[in-house]
Amino acid sequence: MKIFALTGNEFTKIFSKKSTYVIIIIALASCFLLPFMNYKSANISHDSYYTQNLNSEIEWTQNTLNVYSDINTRLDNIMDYCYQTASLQILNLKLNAGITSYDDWRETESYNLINKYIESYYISYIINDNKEYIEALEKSGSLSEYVNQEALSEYLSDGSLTKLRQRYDALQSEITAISNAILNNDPAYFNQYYLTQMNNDIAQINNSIAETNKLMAQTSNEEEKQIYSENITELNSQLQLLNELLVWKQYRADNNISRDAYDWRNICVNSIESAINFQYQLPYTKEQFDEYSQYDYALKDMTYEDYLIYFDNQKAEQRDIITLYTYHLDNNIPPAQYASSTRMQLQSIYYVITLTALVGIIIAAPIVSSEYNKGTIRLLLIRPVKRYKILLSKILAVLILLIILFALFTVIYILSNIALFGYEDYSYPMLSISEGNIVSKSILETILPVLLKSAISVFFIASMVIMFSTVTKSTVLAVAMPFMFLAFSGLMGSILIYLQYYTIAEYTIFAYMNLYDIINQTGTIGNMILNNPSLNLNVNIGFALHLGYGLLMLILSFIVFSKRDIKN
Amino acid sequence: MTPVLELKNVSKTFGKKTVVDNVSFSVNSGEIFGFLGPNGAGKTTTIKMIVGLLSIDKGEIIIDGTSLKKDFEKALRNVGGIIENPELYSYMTGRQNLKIFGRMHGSIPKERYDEIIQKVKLSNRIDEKVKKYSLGMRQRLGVAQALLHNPKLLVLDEPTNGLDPAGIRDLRNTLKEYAEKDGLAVLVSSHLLSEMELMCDRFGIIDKGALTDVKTLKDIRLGKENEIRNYEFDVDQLEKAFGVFEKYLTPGNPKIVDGRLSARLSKEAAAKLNAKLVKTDIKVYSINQASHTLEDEYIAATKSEQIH
Ligand SMILES: Nc1ncnc2c1ncn2[C@@H]1O[C@H](COP(=O)(O)OP(=O)(O)O)[C@@H](O)[C@H]1O
Ligand SMILES: [Mg+2]
Repeated sequence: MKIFALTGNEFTKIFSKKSTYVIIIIALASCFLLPFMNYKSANISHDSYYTQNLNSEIEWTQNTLNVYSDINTRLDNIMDYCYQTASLQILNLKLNAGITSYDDWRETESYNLINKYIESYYISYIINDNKEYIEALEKSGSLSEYVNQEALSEYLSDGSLTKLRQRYDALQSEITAISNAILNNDPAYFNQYYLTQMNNDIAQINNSIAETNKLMAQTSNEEEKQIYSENITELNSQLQLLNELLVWKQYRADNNISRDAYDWRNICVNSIESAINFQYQLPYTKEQFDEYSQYDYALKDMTYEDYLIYFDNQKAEQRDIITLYTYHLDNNIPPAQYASSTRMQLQSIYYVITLTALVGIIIAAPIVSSEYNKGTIRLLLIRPVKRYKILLSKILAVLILLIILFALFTVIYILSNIALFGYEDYSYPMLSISEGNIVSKSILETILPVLLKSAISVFFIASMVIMFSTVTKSTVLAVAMPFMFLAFSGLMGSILIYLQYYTIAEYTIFAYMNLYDIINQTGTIGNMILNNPSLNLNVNIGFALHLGYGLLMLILSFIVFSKRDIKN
Repeated sequence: MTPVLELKNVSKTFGKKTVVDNVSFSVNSGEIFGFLGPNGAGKTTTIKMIVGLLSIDKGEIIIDGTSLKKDFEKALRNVGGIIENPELYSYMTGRQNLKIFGRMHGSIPKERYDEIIQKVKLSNRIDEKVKKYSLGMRQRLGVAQALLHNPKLLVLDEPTNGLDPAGIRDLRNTLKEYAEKDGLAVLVSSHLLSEMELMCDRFGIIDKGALTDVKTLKDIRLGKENEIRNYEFDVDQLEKAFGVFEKYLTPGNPKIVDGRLSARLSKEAAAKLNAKLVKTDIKVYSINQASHTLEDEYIAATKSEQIH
């Protein structure tokens, strides 16, 4: 067939230019290097920052404490004095524990020590009978805020220090234990600690329920009975929540789950815990909704009825998360987005689409215009070949080349990830949930359909390049216009959505430029979809728009190319 | 014999301007047809219609029996051409260029490439990038791509532009050889006459879009009775004689060139004027009739004059 020979010719032309090789080599190299660049930037985090900040905080705290060496100043600012003293302890603990990042779980746990320190200082003033300090504290009114109620009230009623002493000893041993756990980087301690706390909380609620029951039995007033009964219902609901959470505290303790922000097990348990919490939340009342919807962007143009549906959907989503992550944990499968290597790969593999489009712009831009500009068109179009065949061969050459490059970029990108993280991560299946059931697919099965579907934008951009190249005969325009479209369509889409031109956004191409963002609900547009429940960006419409506009531009190119007189 | 190329009442307008106006002529097999006219006459426009670069507004172009409008591909199968300068792909070698064009004509045997490369004397440079070629070499590569597929019609638009005299001679010989040996029909346009005279069998002269005359070389050599030619009179009283000529001829026609009186006249007018000179006592030593060249044809066709 002649069209094959013609397409072959176009390939010869493309690959006779040195610039083609340069561009392709740069693109291939960037595919290979991108995972490494991601890896580096993810691991640098803000270590140097952290240590810098820590040192300057210590310096600042010490300076503040120097000011408080004057006894009167200290007493006037007794709360801050105690706070700063406790801070210094904690900052030094962080330094000694070798914490170097805000992502380190011990960062938060250290900070939680501060109240314990402050309470212990306050109690020590009382025990040691430091009159000025006690007076200053009473003046500031902060004693009851920090010191254990029971021990304090005993002291206040009869001056007995027994309970305060007990409390003080308990605090001291807790502070020591926690500090040691932080220094030794020992999450097991905290797992146990929070488990115990949860058990205490549950015991307390049980107590409250028992007491309320007693009160209810004693009273004969129907109105009071009603109130008690409502209280009990409320308490029972709380109890149920805590019991559900207790299961997971127990799970953490039993399975020695780390508290590392990057450990997928920890993330799963955290997500499950917050999803459980959500199940016990009530939707806003109509009044609350009317008030909050003025400020909350997400609720802005919803009716209360919409909101209730929206709330139910969110609840259902959270329920799915519980099911899904429980399955992940039970089967020891890390969710892809939390497994260090695949997470990065998932976020960035769509880069190959943009890369292919960019290479396409550069390679395709001169494909028609340069024949006109260099005058070779006069030797090209005097052949026994209908003009549409010549343009078709050019389009075919561009599309075939881009398909090959797209495949090559994808493969190299994946190989580079494997080189960096090993194969194991790829062997984990990707789990999702559909109508309450777990769906398990391989990583490629999950990514490739999204990647392929989104790649239609390359066709759209390539068609635009060919159209500008043909119609304007200008290589510069054929590069500039599609490039600008690629760079600014997302912004245009965001602006349309921001201005609430939802229908325009839904039926023009701008918001659909990155289809994967719509499918995965990532990126700016993805966030907007999440936050605008009345915005319906349909992936299939987006796909059809890319295809349709692309074809229209090609048809226009065919008409112009076939009909136009060669006057130059 | 059916002509290889036939134009029937072909017209082309650019906007409101008629650039080619009702042009008809034909080129036969084995014939080299010169298409002559000053710059802007419409030669390139006509040729571009023949090779399919421009659409035909009116009329019909038939190549080897096939109407271009009806079957574009079949008609152009037998055409080779260079329109204005041959702009080749400068980032490719000469051979790659030939291959690119060759493939557009179907399969051309490898020997044919070597043969044509040899013919245009590019054998030792054919695998170099075209950007390193001189203008003459490009012109030769242009000829090679035009003849590669053994067309029946060769169309060359101002092929002598940028060629040195040796190059022009080579081109002339190549064309003549192909015309004689293979019966190639050649349409070659130019605004330069001297080269055309040596090259062409027939001439079409175009001016302001209209074909004014078609003549064979033989027509021109023999001349015709009422043809206007250049006459030179050697006389004793130049001024006086000039006065006589001015009386009978349009201003500007009689001139004094190298001490002789010169004018463009018909045979009849020359004899009449001679008699007038003799009557006014002017000695006429000799009358020379300048040999009839294409130049005369060309000028005559583009601005004719009547003698009263
Ligand atoms: N693209 C164009 N648009 C309008 N007029 C043109 C165009 N190209 C050529 N012409 C006009 O057509 C006439 C014939 O041009 P052309 O065929 O190139 O003449 P030639 O080749 O005999 O020098 C000229 O008067 C020129 O001004
Ligand atoms: Mg011309």
